[in-house]
Amino acid sequence: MSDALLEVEGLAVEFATAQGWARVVDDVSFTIGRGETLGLLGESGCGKSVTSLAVMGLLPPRSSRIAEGSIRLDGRELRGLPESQLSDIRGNAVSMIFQEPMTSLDPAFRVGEQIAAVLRRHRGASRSQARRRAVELLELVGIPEAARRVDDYPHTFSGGMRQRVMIAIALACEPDLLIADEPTTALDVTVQKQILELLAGLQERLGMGVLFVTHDMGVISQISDRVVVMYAGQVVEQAATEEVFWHPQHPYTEGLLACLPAEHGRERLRGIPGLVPGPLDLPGGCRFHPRCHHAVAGLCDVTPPGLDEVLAGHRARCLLARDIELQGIS
Amino acid sequence: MIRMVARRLLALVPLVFIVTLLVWGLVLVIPGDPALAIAGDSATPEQVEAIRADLGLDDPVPVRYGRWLADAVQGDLGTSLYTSYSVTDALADRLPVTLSLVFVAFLLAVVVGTTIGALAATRKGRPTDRILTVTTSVGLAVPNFWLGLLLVTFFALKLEWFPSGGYVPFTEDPVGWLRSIALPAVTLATAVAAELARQMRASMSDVLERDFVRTHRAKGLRSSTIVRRYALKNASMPVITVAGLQVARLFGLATVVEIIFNLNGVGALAVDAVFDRDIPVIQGCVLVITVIVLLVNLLVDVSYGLVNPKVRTQ
Repeated sequence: MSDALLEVEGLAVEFATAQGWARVVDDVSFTIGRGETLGLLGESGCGKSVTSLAVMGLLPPRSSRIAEGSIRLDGRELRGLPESQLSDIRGNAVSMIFQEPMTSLDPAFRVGEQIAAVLRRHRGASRSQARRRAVELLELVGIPEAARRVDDYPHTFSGGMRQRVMIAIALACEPDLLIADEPTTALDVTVQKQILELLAGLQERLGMGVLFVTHDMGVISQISDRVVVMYAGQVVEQAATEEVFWHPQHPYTEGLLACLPAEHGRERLRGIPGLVPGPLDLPGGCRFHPRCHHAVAGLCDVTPPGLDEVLAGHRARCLLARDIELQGIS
Repeated sequence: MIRMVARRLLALVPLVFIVTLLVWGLVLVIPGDPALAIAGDSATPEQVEAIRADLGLDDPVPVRYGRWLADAVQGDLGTSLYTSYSVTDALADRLPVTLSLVFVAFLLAVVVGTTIGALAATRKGRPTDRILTVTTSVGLAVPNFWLGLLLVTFFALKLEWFPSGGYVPFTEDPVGWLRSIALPAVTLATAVAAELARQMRASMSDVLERDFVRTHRAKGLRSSTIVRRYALKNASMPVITVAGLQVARLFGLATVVEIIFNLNGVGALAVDAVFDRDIPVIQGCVLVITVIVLLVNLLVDVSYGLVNPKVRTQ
């Protein structure tokens, strides 16, 4: 008996290509508890957005499929639910905000109407009730003069303000789980900070679980309780946030940490050589070995590593995890 | 919004002025002397000269234009060279026929075309889409005089559901009016409906890929609501522009349809006038149709503003 809000187990997602089904997410498992924030970290193309869309049931039908695994919300299996039941959950028990605030709002409708639509759909609110609640929500996410702005169209809002509107839409039905897919990536640094603070504050107030998807180590360190690091469609490391930052157990995580500019102006900026492999040309053995400077020939390019518990509550997908000393941040 | 309409109406004035110049200028470029044509083959040069003087054809060009314009502004578009009827009266007689035909055809084309286009876009790549795409290609390719004859043969002559020609004024018998206009309107609407369907399919499939549609889905809205309420409004923006252009095309195509269905509209009037070199009638027809098309385009722009809030605030 677990008290987990979201349990993702052995999730595999495949996309249709000219060469058949390509597996872009493979054997991904994680859980999120109530009120917990899980950071899902990885480079573009590692499958983190696909994972979050799979949880939302928003994968493009026909061109993609969940090949294996299960997604349980409050113990209820979501995989295989018909669209009508999934749409009852979306925007209600699970909400999502996206990377692109500039294009994620409907340009032809007033923002108030776009917020009200969720309430009318899931709460059966009347027109006037929904409108009143929309004003409250705009106030909640910190939009000045909410009572007037509710009747404005999205193009009169800045990027940061539009993301606030998106958050208002996502929180309208007070969801149990919020999925935030790179919500601050497209924003100015100062606005990023405001949005992160807003999200953290609202999470505390509403007690919801958050799946925070990002490629930004700095953002992850500020907001998440635990971190899942993904590489080439797989989970490569999973632990509490400080653990991952201080004692990384996977060379990929070490590489990501090395990409962070060090404090006190000491230049230590390093990158990870090479590119993330595509789902159709995955290397044999460990998927990271061609880019890994710890890789041992005859081992890492032959044996695919499992996701093993290296330290208590700390899992890593590396054959050498127990043998090599990796550098975190101090 | 009202200010925008007023501004656009004001902008029409110089435009209409230029149109009158072009329309009236027809007189100068069309070969043949109307006086000669009226006088007939056996007339003496003196008779021809008398007719020329009578018509004011000897005056300088600007004077003739000024005289015509002054009359036209007061609603007098001159007299037919042949029937000696007032052109204004002839147009007033014929205009309701053409307007009924174009209006019903346009309504039909918009409703049918956008429905087919939107449906095809939501079923993109599937059998429904393929069938509808082939249908619209056929609709675009079919010549309307042939389609008109086909409809008359089948629905008027064989099944006798509709009259094969002639026009019943709306004020006399609304049902009869609709029956008299139905086949011509379908004939006229087909190509335009097909064009609008293609535009709507392209526009709708583009809109359905946009980020905000994903947001609507993430809100849990039902697919039918997303398409009908949200995507349709966004997708209609480029389609409205195309629909506006189609109105001018409808007036052009109406000429052929009027002749096939024996409707005495402006198009048929214009065709007769061209064969008779009845220049005042040609001028009147072109001027009136042009002004109507300009006004319709203004209406189209206004409705564009209704669906696109960005235009409104500018």
